[in-house]
Amino acid sequence: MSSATPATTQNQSKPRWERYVPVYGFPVVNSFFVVLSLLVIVAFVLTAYRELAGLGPVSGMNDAYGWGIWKTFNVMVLTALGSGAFAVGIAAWVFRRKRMHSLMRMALLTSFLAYACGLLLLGIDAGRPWNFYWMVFPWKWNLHSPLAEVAICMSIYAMIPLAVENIPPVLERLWYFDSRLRPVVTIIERRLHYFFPWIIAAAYLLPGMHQSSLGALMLLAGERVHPLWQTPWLPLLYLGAASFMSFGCVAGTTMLCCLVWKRAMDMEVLDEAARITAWLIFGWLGLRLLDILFRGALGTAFHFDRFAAVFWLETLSIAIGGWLLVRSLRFHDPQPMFVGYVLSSAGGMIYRFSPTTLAFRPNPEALYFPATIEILVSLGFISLGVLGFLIAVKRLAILPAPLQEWYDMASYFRFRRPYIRWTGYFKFGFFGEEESEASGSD
Amino acid sequence: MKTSEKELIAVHLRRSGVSRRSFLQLCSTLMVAAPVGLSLTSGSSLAQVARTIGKTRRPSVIWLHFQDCTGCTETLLRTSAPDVAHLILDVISLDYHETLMAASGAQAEAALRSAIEDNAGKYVLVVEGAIPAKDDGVFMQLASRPAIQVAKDVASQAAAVIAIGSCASWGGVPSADPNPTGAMGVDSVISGKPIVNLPGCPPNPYNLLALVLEYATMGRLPELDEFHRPKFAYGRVIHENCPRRAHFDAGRFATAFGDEGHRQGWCLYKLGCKGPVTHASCSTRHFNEIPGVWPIGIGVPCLGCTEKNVVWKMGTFETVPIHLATPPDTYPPIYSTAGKFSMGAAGLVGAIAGAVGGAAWVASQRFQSSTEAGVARVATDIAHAEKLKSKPNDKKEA
Repeated sequence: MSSATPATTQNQSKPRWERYVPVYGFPVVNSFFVVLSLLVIVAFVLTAYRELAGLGPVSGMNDAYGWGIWKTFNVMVLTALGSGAFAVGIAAWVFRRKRMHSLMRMALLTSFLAYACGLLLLGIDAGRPWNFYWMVFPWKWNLHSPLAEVAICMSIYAMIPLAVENIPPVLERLWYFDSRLRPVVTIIERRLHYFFPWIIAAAYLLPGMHQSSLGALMLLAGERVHPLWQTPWLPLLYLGAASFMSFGCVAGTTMLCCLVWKRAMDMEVLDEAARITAWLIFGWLGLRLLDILFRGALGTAFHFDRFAAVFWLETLSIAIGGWLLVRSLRFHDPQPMFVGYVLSSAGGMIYRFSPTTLAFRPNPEALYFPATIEILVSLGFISLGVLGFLIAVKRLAILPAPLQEWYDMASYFRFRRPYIRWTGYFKFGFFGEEESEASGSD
Repeated sequence: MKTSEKELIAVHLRRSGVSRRSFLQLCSTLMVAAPVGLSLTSGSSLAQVARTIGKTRRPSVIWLHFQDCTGCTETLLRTSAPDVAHLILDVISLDYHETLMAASGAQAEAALRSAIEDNAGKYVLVVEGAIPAKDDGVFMQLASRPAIQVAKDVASQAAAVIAIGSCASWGGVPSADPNPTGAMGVDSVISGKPIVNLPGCPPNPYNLLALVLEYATMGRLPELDEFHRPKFAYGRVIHENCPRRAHFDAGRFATAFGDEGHRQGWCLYKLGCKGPVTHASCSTRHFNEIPGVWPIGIGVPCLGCTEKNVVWKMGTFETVPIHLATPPDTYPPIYSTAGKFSMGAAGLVGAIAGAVGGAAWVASQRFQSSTEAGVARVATDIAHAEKLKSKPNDKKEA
């Protein structure tokens, strides 16, 4: 057991993420899961009520604020958090930050869940379910709506690139857990290989389009958005905020998962993610402050009102978060790193939330505060995403882990589930050398 | 122009080196300017309009100036894209125009004579400016003849007469009290010819172009109202399509130049805007091909320049009675109801934010130990690996 010499331990004790491994040894259903399920059920019941009763009784929206938190928070803010597939993907594939590949499946999964839940809630917000069948006739779409780009682009992105990019973990599970399915998996995988590059390219094009279009939407609001936020650069700033927020979401969630399920953290990967995030944060902050400065809106940041308060809250959150990330790099310390991710993402969320709600002032007397039902439905759909996440990471190989974790899992399942025709765990040797495949079957 | 037969517009444009693209752009602008009310453009596609115009012989136009400021000519020439003015001058055959031609004196008179003779009975006479009629028209002389005589002579051989601008339509500024020259519009001087008035100070040049082309291609004049104004351009009052109409309906008025309402772009009615009684297309067809370029668009009340009974007859800041008030059944509130703020919802938001923040805080406090746990775990893993490596075949027994 203790045969490892101190020298090699020194060298090898730094955990390395080498493989995606499902979370095993923890039951899927626990008390947290039950609470989330209850929230989802409550949200579904309230959704049915909303479809019958209309928006009036269930939401706090009024003539001045036509967009409630279902759009402004669940879609505009949470899809920014869920842009990991875009930001992490571009860092890994386009800028060749290869370590980011170990966070890729987390990014793809969180993106898919954020977009899917956001779009579901968007459909519920739109209402009139009896009209939904018109969606399949593209010539009936209202292409003159400012929302057309966002709606079309988001739905296509969530339904095609994101869904397809999340197929490999599912195929992998089929491959390893039932050898009879292997021929099918092989065929599907070959097909996937054929158009995967196009899917990946679309997965970078589409979010770039709609994440900036979400900002462009608020350009239409004109002077109703406070000058600290209303700028022709809004599309770019929205895209930039989505980039660093999604890095925070992906890396922060991975760290949280490692903490909860007692997994080793690869500080090299996390350091690199933190470095990229810090660059994104300070670049973005620079753009934002330059923009405010050149538009001459800086003075309004020093007025004593709620807009200035929100501005300083978000700016300081992002800046302190970025500073903590930079600081964590020096000591390879996960604690300030995690706090940095949380703070910067929270600040980014406030930024994405502000132009639509916090800094939106259609007239001096208007007020919007979400109704209780609205909040519960919003919370329920977030819970739905979290539930999906919990099931996925425990059933599919999503989280990165040291290679040994994979073998531990194999022994675990061999012991716990002897009836499963699991196969192929020993396709690769311990240190990556290939072994004959037949050796591991059954 | 010695031949009495003009060439086809398409042939002339090709010879002048005008691209089909610019021609189509002109046609589309024309269609936008006069979408309905013209048999040329209504119900036709752009290609059809272009084909119809291209197959037409260039209409001969003789342009006479009387008591005017040349503003109507300026509006024809001062299109924002210089190509447009050239195109208009290529499409119509402007055979005599005192401002634009190089000739003067006897040479100019000869040009007028030859233009009349070459196209006798076929040319369109465009009159710009009021005609002085008092004291046998001694107030304006053209080639030693009173202007009123020149107008009658040239009009006698014209196919149709177009009075461009408010002066030619009913007298305009020169006819304002006390009207020392007895200035009057074309229709008071000339009789027996189809006369179309295009009032405005200045009118939109596209209305003239649409009118001339309609006459050239279809051989007839468009439908006119009681003041001989074509209905396609003067059928509606400015108020009906005014971009500031919503402010009028909501009761938001600018009350002084530069006040808060004026800066916010509110309705100019209380500043004396004559839009509610002025029949013109300014609110939908702006000037110089630039959106928003027209008086109300730049914050100046409408003067009512197309209406004989309004401009020069009413005070600039005098408000007009609303004849076409169409009150809605209910008035929308100017400020919508403020939303509700319930303590329960606020508490819920606070609880959620607290729970998430608290969880993040608790998690952040445990990170150090987790790393240690992870490192310890990997150490055992490595030990395990060493063991496996020492007997590499044990897993094959599985």
